[in-house]
Amino acid sequence: MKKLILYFSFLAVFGLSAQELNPVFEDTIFDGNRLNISSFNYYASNFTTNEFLDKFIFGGEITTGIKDRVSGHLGRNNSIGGEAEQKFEHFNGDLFPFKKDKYGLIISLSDNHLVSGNVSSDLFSALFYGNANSLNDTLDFGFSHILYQHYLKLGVGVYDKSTLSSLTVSYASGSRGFEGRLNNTWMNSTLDSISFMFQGAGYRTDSSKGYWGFQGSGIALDLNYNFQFDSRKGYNQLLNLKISNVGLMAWNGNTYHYAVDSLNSYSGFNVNDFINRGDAEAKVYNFNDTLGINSRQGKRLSALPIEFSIQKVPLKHSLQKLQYLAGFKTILTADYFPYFYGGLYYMPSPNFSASTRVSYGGFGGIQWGLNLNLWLKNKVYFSLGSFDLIGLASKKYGFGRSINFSANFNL
Amino acid sequence: MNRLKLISLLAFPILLFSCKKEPTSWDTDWSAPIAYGHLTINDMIPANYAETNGSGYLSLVIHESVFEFSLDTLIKLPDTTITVKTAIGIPSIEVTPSFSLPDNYDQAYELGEIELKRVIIESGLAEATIQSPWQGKTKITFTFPKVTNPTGLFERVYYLDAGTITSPTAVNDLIDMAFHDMDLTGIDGNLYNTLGVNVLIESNEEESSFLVTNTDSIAFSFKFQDLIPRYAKGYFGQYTFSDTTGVALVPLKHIVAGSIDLDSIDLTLTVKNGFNIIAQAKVSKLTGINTRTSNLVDLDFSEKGTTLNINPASGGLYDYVPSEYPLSLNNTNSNLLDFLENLSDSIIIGYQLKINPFGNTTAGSDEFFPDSKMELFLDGEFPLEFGANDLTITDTLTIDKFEAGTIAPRDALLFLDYQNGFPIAGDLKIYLLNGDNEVLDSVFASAPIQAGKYQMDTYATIPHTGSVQFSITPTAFDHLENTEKLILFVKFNSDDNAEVKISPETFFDFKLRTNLQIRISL
Repeated sequence: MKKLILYFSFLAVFGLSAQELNPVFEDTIFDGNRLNISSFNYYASNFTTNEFLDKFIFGGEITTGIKDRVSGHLGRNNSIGGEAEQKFEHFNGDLFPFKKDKYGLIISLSDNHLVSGNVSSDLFSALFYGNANSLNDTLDFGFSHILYQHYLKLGVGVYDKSTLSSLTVSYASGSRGFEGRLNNTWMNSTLDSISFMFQGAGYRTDSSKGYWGFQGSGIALDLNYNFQFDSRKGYNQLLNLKISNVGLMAWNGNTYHYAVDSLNSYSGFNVNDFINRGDAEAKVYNFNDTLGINSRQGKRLSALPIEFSIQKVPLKHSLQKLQYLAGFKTILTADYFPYFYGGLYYMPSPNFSASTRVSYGGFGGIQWGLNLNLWLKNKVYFSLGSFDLIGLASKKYGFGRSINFSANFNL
Repeated sequence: MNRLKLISLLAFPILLFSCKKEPTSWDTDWSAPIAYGHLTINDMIPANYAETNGSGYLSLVIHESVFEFSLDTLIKLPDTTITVKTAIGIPSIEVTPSFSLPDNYDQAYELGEIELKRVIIESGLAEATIQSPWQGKTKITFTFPKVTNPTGLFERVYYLDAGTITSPTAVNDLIDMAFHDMDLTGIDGNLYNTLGVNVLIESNEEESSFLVTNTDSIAFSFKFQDLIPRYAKGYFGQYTFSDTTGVALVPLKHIVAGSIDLDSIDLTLTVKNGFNIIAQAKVSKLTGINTRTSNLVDLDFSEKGTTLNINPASGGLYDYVPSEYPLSLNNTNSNLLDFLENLSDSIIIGYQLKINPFGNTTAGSDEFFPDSKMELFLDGEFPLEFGANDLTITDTLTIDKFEAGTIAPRDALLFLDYQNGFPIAGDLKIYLLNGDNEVLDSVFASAPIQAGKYQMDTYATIPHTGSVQFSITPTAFDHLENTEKLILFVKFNSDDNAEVKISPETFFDFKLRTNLQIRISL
């Protein structure tokens, strides 16, 4: 239980904030007031086992065995990433935007994190094994990437009471961010020298600021569209389309920008430069200068992580006890692969349902998920689930973790 | 309820980090070059200390002053104050605007046996103080007729307001005396240690007159402080200096074992006299002490214990040339080789020096020139021809305590790949000591650095190519955190323990690389 709390804590902080893929669509007509609280958290990787990440995050020795098991999964694309979103939404059916009573008003507040990374096999090898076993080889670090964004979103929007389709405009307050990307970067080691080609760029916000930071401002547009139709057998179906985070973030002038394009060869210190010289002649070796990293401070405009998803969502009030579900999602970062899933939804009673799903893509590989839904007197709705039960259960075979929770209160 | 949930969510991250009981760590193995170099004899000693001798191999040469002293402390002018009160010689007088009262004085310095005629000041100050009770404005001019400075004659003029006997008016002036050329023969030019000064007292009133009585004395003083001469002429007195003193040869104290065989050495000890003064010198004792072996060797040479007459320097103030009295020492006219092979780390020197041993025979013409000194100068040529037999040198280095941080070495193998062109082998050991000088650990080379093969006929050496390893264990790295000193032992042996000569082309090439296990802790 304690571990579960820790995992949840981690997910709440480091998981990446993306839009939750809806477990179930409840109402076709809604004109009251509702408060939604949701927590959507996951991280995933296609190469790092949970035992590795647990040690990395919570402390402990990463043994050679653990490193070897990770190395066995390294390939051309080694992704790691996640999202965490903690969100409050209030649907108000008593206010009529555009003076039309078919619309209601949404006010939302969310705390969002996104981490997206891609590590070349050779970079992992150099960082965790060193170069001793790679003499006379060229280690290619190119196209490794890391991105982190943390921001708050305060949104106001309009929703359609009959479909719950909505359009929200949000002010995004940037808390913290950094990004680094290596281009043509490699290292070649011999007994006598180490050659290092270092080409890349990146930025980071001021790391001395607190959790909320307030180091940038931006704007985001979120579209949520529900399309209902009947199947050939006459059953009502719903297709949900989401386009989220269409917007920009302007990080403030304290943001550090880095760029490097240098080729260095290190053969050790030449003692002739240091011996038999006066103090004024003594050479001072500056490693940072040698690497040739250029830095400056200034504002930076960066895109928010745009997310797109389309999914067939089960309906609570369907005449079918057993429904299928399917979907597709993508995040526009270089490290996220198209995410597909499919599964079944079963509702044995009017107040309880469960769904299971198999997914592939995103930051990880194949995952198996389970979700439970509970309604209390049509006033309160709870949902608890995970998109990666194997990850929750196993350190050795899991490649990430996921946990989602949401609660709706009809006021 | 909702607020409680939000607070709970925010509390989770805090719980998360507080639950990290140990750092994340992993081990990595790195292979990296550390250093390289091509060392010749000129990289080990300054180039002007080594030269190729007539036989085509290297000699260490020394041209250094080993002992010196100056006379400026003897003829330093003591702090002196010229204090004079002057008054009219009649009961009273009416001082009109045209009134003037001239006077002059010869002020003598008390310098004991020293009789100075001329001094040029290197540095020092004069503080002038004038007090006047005259009841009208007064002008006082001090002229030093035989003192000049870079701007001309040394003269000071002071203007005083009206005063009274109970409340005299006063003026203070601080004068930099550097580069003042002072003739100390007095106003008439037939004295010594005497400074002449002319004083002119005048009314500074434009129209009015005032009355002065013979009780209205004007007092003035010149206080000379910290005067240091850069040139002096006169008779400096008769002195005898003698002492027996010890000199520690600190570099040789690092030799803790072994011996060295030398072939031939030429030394010239020169007594240089930079003063225009007659002197006599005598070296009475020159004993080398090896405190490690408690062995003493007296250096014997023909001039030892005899009085040497040292001629005065020639030339003048700006072109003086020191006189020289050379003493040539070699292995044929002295036991210099025994003296040096004793590897003495201390030397006892007994000497005697007499200044003006026959009194004032130059009629006061002794001269002290700027920067002139009496010195014992060593010109030595040490041909690098020697045999080393387990010659062991040690040195202690104080180091900052090592603290393992994010990156901590755990285990290391250092490889020294070398090409040794010196006909000398070396073996290195390093000991780690704590603050109480207790040995914590040690690092040894896997084998000595082998000597190159010496070619007796050409003095050339066929380089030896080899590699030695140093293993630094995790325990040694742990001990580094408590290490405050390193002791290095290097043992040298010449090729076949024979005498070898060092060629100018001799070199030592090396590359130092490591296989290092690093523990990274975050």
